[in-house]
Amino acid sequence: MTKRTLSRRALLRGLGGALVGLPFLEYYSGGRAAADVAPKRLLILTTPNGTNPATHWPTGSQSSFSLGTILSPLEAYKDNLVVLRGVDNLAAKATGINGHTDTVRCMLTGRIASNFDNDDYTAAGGISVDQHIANQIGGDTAFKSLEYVTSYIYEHPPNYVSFYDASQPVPFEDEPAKLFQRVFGNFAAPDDAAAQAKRADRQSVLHAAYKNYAELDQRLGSADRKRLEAHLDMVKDLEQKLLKGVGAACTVPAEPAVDDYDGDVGTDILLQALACDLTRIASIRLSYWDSYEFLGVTGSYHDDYLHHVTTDPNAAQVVDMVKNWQCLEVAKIIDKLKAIPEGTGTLFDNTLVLWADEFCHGYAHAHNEVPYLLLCGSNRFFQMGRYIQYPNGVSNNRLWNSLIAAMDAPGAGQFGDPQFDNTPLPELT
Amino acid sequence: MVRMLNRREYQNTIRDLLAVPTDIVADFPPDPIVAFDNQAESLVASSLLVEKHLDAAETFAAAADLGSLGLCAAPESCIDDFIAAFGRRAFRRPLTDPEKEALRGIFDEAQAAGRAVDASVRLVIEGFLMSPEFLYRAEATVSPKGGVTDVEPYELASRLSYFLWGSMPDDELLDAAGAGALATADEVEAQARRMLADPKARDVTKAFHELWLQLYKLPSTKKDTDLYPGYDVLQPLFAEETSRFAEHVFWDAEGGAREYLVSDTAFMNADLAAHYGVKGPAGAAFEPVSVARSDRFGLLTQGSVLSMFSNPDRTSPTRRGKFVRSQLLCQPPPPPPANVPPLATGASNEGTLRERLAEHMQNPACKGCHQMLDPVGFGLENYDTVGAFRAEEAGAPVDASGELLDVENGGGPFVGARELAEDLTATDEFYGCVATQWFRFAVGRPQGKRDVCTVYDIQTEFRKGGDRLPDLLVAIAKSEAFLLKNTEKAQ
Repeated sequence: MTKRTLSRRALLRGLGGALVGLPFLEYYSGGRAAADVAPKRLLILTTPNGTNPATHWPTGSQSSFSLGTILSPLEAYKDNLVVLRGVDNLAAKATGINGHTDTVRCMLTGRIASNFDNDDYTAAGGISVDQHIANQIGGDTAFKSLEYVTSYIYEHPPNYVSFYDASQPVPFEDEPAKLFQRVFGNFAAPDDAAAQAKRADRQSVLHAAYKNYAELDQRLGSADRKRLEAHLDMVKDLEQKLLKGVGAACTVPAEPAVDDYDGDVGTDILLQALACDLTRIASIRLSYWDSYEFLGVTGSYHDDYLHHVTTDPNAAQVVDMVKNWQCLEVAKIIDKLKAIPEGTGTLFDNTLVLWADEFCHGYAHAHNEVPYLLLCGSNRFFQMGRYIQYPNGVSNNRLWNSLIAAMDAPGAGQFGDPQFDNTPLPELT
Repeated sequence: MVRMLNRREYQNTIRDLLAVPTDIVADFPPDPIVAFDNQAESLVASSLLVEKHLDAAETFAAAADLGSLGLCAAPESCIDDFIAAFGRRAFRRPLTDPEKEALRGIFDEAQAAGRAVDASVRLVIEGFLMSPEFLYRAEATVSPKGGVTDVEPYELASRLSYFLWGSMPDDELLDAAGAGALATADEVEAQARRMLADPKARDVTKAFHELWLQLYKLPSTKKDTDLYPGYDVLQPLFAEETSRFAEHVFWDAEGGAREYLVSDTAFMNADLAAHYGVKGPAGAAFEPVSVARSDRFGLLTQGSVLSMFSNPDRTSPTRRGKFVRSQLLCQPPPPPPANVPPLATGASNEGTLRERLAEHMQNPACKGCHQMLDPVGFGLENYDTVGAFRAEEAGAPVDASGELLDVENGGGPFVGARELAEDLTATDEFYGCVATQWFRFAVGRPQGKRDVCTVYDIQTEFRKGGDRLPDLLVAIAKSEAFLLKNTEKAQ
């Protein structure tokens, strides 16, 4: 992890940007007793555009296998990963739409899209698995979940992957400086008088707003009421967050410059939020979509290479290079998780990482054999170090239900559309 | 349906309500664009947005000039009047008693806690800005009998102001609503015409043009920097050109909507004119330029459209054709089918583009859609991926022949961009599409089954009046979709 100078201004920032005269680390002190078990975290990494199946999959058996070209950057973590082959995105497949839209809007929901408009990236059919887990176990932390995209500008329209509910996308944070402000810039020292006053004022304001929600409700039909209730719940979560002190001994990353769009910087902040137990559910979209000029790829990656991956060896080589780069980015994130000590081990031991791609390969944007990969530094969630193959294919919805079970969240076996099978995968133990 | 203010509307509303700087609204998460940025269904709260709302409320309340908002010198004595008067503007209707009490409660609590009077009033303003009646356009959606009812006067005032200004109603509009002077179609038309004459209406047409023409895609449009080293300088100029051009057509062009495609007026500065190879202004400032008898005429020959719907290193007749079909004719192609059989081995980047795309026409699975797209895009082949004119490509003359299928009037084979543009202006679909796009933007939802007749009437009126765009907006404002609403039966 890159070490940066701690900015005093960042450390002293209090509510709403006011300066509070208490060192940040002091109120972050406390932390869990050493005997406490570290909380379980879930980190979801998503990448676009599929892979080259010819070079993606390992060779060998479940317990004895070799990683191929694309996954080679994860060689050092071979004992910490589970490669899943033969997991299908059945919800996306069910509609017969092969575009990019369905692959992402159906990816984590286990449900068919709410409408089939191919340009409507918001049209998920229901809540996504990360948000389901966040609703179940995220309530004790400052943020139920955090979502970050490394380079939003390269992806238009934004490919939402997380959803609160049908057609309700969760927006990404895309600027490291804003992410920092949101996560580390806005907490109060619990015993500071100015901060206490500020908190009381905010509660007074919010409580009046709650009354107005109730007043408005009477004039609304049921669908409208539901919409406003969802909004109100989020405001109430915000109030809880503002009231809460923050536990966990914690290193605060340096405040990034406002024009610093470096994805590594934003990732550091997000991982630190996991380390500080400010959230337990986080996701990062590694978003380069069509332009890989920085890797020396000329032209449109999507049109000129991806769509020829199964027919043109030159195109396949370029796809290998791009996926190899993405895998290297994933490996870098694992390196960072492993560099953060926690208890007697590291944050990686207590974080289940899912790397999910959009679809298998780019030629036909097929929804079979989507590349899914799990990573963890311990066997706390699943027995790691395996290559699990499903020659006849299984629904990715089963994988989501396995994640729910592994995160100790209620609802395993009930998430997603039952027509796509929601039994947790028995191999994942 | 309740509709949350989108980022643009929120920013405009704060400007008109509080007259404070609104830069921080740029930090809000971007609104989902589902055709437009104001579709009720897609505008939903998120944890991130809720946090931004609170930050913004505090920033704006702190910056507001309380005196100019009508606060008297001794606020303890007039706080109730302030809440009622400011509240009518903030909630865009008179407050109910419980609402007044809730907001008054903030003031009293702050006073009891020893806050300064000014600070207490500012907290009340925060309370307004965090209330759903401010953040949402919340029309009453229950009625005694349920079903279709008239929109209430204050609701209509908000419908009009967010449609025509992207912002809150002004005092005149609120007064008209309060006095029952928005009751007839003539009264609505008079207000609509007054509002269109206000500069705030241009905020809306600019936003419409950016969304309809998908100019928001331009900043993320990349080109191969070895092949097109000047592109990064040109890209913002393309956006400026199209925005100015579209505004000109909307507000000033005599010929109505057809001028989007065939106008002889362009907007350029020196760099852009040099790129296009036409005589233009000498400086960096944009000026109107007459481009009669040149190879520039209307949207289809502008760098924005030509580069956005191309690839980094070559043109894409398919993408250009899709833009024309989806945005200009409202005939979006269905998504590519599942299980497309592979192209013949070796078919990749060999041969001319037209030859490579011929595969689309030979394969029956592809042909259905691609015959609607590629032959339209071929008409623009005289313009390269950054919109520069070219008579030849790779040593051979450009073949810009194409065909426009499946339109009422104006269809058939054509050669080159000028004929394509003329053909498009002869179709019924183009004008119907402009009206349909505006309708969706105006009502904040896709056209439904019940809207078919309404939209047909709007299209008919638009065409009868000579395709004049401001008149189209008036026709929408007077339509049933605007004056009526759906309600649930009260329990």
